[in-house]
Amino acid sequence: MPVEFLGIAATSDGSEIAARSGASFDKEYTLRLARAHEENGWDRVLFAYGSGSPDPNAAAAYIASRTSTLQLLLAHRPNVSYPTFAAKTFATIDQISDGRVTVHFITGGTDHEQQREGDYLTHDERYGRTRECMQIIRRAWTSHEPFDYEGAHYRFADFVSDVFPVQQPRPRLSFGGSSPAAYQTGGAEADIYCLWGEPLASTAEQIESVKAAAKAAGRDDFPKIQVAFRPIIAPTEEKAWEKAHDIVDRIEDRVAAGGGALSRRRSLKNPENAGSQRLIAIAAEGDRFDRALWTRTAAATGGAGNSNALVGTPETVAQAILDYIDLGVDIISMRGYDLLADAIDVGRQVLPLVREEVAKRDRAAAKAGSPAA
Amino acid sequence: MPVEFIGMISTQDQSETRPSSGPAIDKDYVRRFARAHEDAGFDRVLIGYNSSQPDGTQVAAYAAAHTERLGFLVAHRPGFMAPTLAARTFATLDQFTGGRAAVHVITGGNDAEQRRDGDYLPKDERYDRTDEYLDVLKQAWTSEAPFGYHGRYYRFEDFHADVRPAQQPRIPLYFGGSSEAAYRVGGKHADVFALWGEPLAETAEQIASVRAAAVAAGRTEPPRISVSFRPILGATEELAWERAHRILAATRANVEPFRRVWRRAVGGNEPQNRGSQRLLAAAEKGELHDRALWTPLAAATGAAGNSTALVGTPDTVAQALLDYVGIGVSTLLIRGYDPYDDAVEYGQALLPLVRDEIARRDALSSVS
Repeated sequence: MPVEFLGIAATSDGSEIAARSGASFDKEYTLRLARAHEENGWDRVLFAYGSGSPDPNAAAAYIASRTSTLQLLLAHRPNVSYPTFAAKTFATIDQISDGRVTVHFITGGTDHEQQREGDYLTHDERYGRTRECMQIIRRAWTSHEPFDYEGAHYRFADFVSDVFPVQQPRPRLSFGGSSPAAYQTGGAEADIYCLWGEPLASTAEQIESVKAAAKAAGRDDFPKIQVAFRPIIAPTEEKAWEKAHDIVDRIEDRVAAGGGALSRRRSLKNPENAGSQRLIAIAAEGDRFDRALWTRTAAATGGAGNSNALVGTPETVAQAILDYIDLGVDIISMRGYDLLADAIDVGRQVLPLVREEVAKRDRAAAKAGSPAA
Repeated sequence: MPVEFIGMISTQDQSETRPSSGPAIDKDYVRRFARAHEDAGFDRVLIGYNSSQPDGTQVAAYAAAHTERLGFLVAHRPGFMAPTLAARTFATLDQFTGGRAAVHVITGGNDAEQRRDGDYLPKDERYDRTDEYLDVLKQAWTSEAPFGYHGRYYRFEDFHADVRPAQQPRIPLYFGGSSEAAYRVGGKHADVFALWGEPLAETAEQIASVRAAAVAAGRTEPPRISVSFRPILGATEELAWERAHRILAATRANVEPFRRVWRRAVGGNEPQNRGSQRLLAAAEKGELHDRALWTPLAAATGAAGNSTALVGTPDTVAQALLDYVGIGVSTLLIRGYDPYDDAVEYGQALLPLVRDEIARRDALSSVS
């Protein structure tokens, strides 16, 4: 089965290694980055969400009208809009983009960040709300009859939308989280379950947890699995590792200059979210895992988001990705530390290698008469 | 002072005179309809809101990608989005469109319609919530420092938007409503207060109410005033009136399907909102008011939205619009019953007459 590749949409060129060079909002850069993905083999880009960020949906609207095939993954925190309202927004973007939308539910892992937009629920309550939100959005996209809803978090009466998605029966729901509450919610509701890149063994454990939760929820299918990395590639192994160490030096310099933080939004110490706690614990166990996984970038940023690197030549990184595909991973999410240059380099040098090998295996499996595992 | 003309775009051909046709979002129609307004010389277009419609911000973004200059007035009901996100949504739109965004704040006039998106507040509380919402929106657009808010409806800490509007200091706020609560909240916050087209005397009363509310809120500069009409033009008075009666007959014939659609939007034949009640009261008083204001179309639909007509030759209708400019109106929001063709016709026949006359008056007053 073909692998999918997710890149990143951003409205400025900042990353962990360098502050943005211009305004927080750079229209030209936003478009160049999206087109670099579209033209270099990426299937989809993520429009991320933070309490101060530009609205992912409004940014996606701009990109949708200026690209033709690039798919749009829209991060959504259920606390910031009413689910029926959000369903109409997503259906409208799906119409305007001719069916290119996937919605990525992020529940929020940090109390203070949630409070910036008025959300005072506890962690586990938030996941309960996300579950209701996913159910409502799915129904609003598919129900042509008015319906009511009475849940713990939402109540409404007689809702029906005039606008339905282009994708039938509906766009996919993507979901991220690594706590027990997350497995339970995403296992039950998600079409795509997203993990941050960990060593193969602990990734396999997480996949098992997601599958067990899906089974417990009575599903007869499993969510597709997505894993996220930060690729660091160069023509030789040696150069790739030089580059990797240079990146970590630059991150550490910025953290030191920032008094122990990369931005005012996020402290690097004692993260509340399970995903970051896991990355920090893994980094404490060692710098290197498996073929090419490197944890220093995660350690330097306190496991802030997708932050474990895959380091090496394009061939090594492609092989490392194939190791995850062998575990049952369907989608690979990647962004570099130089967003634009890496979207082009990784798109041209790594993606084709992975795709070729996956296609080769699929052909071999078809020849052997057995469906690809 | 130049007058501002606002038209309206929708995502499919729709009118009171016939059933809607085509898919809910006809992209080609949106693109052509927006360009028709731009070419006709409209300053902006309104994008409406109700609980079942496509998201107006997305429609604006799409139309903006296919126009150069046209402004967008996106109708927005507080209560369904965190105001911190709404501020960033509109700021993002404003950035991507090069400063062409404006927000039309509508608080919602019907309980059943509000409940479709989970809002169970009573009407007066809705206006109080709108008041807080606009406090937050303005601060989010302009505050350099992180800020918190502790109101009755909204509470948050340490919020800061990384994205600011392209327009400085902020995006314009239009505001609709005709109740006491609406005057109070709109008088305090609105840059432009929007009214539906009533006779001159009633419109003057409403303008006075808005201004009094602005003074009570401590403003030194009151909101500008917008009034909405449905112009029906003809080459002669007689032809215009023939056309008006044809439109009325078609509206009456189509009223059941239209009401079914509109009930989804406003929930019933007895309007709860003050604006519709006022239009029906004007219709009760008489069919024709002042120079060219005609009310039977409002009566025919239960005053579902902007529904009073101005009927006559382009000269007559231009004069009628100028009568409103004369009592302090500076924005005219107009759309027809054949929405696409009428937008084109207004651009050819009506807008230049009004603009030329205002330019002439402005020149005179600057000489004298």
